[in-house]
Amino acid sequence: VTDQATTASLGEAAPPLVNGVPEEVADGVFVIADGRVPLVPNIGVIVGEHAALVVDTGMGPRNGETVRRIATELAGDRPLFLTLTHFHPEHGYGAQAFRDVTIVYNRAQRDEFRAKASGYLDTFKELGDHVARELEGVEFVDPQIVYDGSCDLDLGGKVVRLRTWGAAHSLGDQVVHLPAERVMFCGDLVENRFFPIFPFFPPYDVDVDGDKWIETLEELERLAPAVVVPGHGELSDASLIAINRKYLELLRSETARLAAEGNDADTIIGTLIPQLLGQHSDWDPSEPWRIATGVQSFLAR
Amino acid sequence: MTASRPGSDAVGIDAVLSGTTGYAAPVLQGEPVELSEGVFVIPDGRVSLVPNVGIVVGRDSALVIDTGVGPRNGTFVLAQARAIAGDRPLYLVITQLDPGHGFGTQAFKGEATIVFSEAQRNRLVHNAPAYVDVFKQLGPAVAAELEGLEFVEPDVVYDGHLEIDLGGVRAQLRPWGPAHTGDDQTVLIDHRVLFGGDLFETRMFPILPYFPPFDTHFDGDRWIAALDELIALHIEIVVPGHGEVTDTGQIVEVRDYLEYVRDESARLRAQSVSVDDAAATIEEEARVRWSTWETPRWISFATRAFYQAE
Repeated sequence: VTDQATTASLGEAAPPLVNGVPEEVADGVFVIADGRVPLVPNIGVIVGEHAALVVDTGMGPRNGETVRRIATELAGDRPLFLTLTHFHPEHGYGAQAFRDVTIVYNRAQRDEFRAKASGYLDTFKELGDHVARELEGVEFVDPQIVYDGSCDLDLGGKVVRLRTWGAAHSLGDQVVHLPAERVMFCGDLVENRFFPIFPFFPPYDVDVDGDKWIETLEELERLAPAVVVPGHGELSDASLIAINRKYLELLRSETARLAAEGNDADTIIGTLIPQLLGQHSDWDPSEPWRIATGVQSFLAR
Repeated sequence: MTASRPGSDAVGIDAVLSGTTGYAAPVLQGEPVELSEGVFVIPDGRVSLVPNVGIVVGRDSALVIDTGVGPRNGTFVLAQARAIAGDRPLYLVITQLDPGHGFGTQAFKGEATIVFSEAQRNRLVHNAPAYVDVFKQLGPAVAAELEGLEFVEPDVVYDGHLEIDLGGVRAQLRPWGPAHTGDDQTVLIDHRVLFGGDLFETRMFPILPYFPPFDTHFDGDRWIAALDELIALHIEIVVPGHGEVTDTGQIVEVRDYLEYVRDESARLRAQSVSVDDAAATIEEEARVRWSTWETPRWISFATRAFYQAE
């Protein structure tokens, strides 16, 4: 049911191409906006005095090349680092364009990537020809540096803190934080006017952890970023983290309430999709499966 | 040069300096020796303040482990690494940020991706500058190598573990401090070669930089526990911070020595033996038991550290 819903909702979608102009959101911190195009993430390029960091690649070799070209334009001859907010195809399957730079992942991200990369590739190719086309010729690239916990990159006058938060949206969620500039790249832990994605696809992937996700967002709120870059959707501030947390809390509590009343999963989903769409009327309504898999995930915990 | 104050808790650094002037020039020299495929060491030649330096080459990039003291040694190590690694990108790591191991880092800024542990960066910020004046007192040959010294920031700082894939060769960095000191780090190449830094030496008493209040980042129990874990890895080729390349048997010997000092200092302390008398007793016995080891002056430092940590 989920796969059909996914296919139906994305089949006619625009090609998932990184197509934005980099915008400087803080000194030396650039974002290539997703333009709210499905399967295009917000991408970061952070330029210090002597090195630069790219955050996410877009999906497939063509997007990877686009991001590489923009990063090189911004960074000049500075050496590049690449990191990903998490391994999912639209965020990291363009990494082959960065094969010759230093790629940094956290351990959970690397391990999850190795375990699930092929399965996700096959699944995403079924989302439609426009997606399959971008995934043609994808090659998986291992990182050079793998850390546990957290890791700071000093790009020269600009320190970037990479920190592991999963399991939440994925096992290896990583937030890219510039404490001095107060900019935070949240990946799919936070979206703007999109329903948060629960990649709950038993038996292939059941690792999303809504409880830990909520705790993670509480902690990210405490870091008080001034600029929050969501995985998808417009930039905002720390209030966006709270909005996502409140949605997850509502989804969790409503699922629990309806389950306690003796409703089965289909009934709960049937109730909550219209309810939550109505309560978030300015959010993109086109992928209600995100609500459904969220319910299933909370019920399974 | 003054002697340490008898009975004082604060054994001054002057105590370690007394009787140790006349340091030979702490200069790395000699050709790298290949220990295992792609894993080289520039041997220390058993010269004080010169560490064993590692150079590890993979298909895509290469790793340097420790720099020697000062910019000249750092430049020498960089040239040796370039000679072996060609134009592969370089990484630099250090086993600890003490002058002998990490004070040549400036030669690598912009030439290599410099990777420190969180503890090493803390030592850079809080302790490193104070070491300069102290080490200059070790004599003109040492002071000469510290000429032109600059501290540079690492490019990557991790807490926890870190893995670097050099292309077919994997280096695992692991912090252990506080153990021998606050920022000990080992580097394990695949499951073949272990670079241990000053967690153990070959045929010399372990160097214990315990100079309260100047530097007290010592934790004897954690040090012994670290050695137990390293022994359990059964690595065939083991590179100590100083002294000849060896095997796991040497780690066992150092572990046994530390346990001996720990247990004896605890026993004597329980009998109300003063720290000075305990140090003298243990030194006398240890010199006999480990009669082939050099640098016996470190025995009393070990005793004082364990005794006062009780």
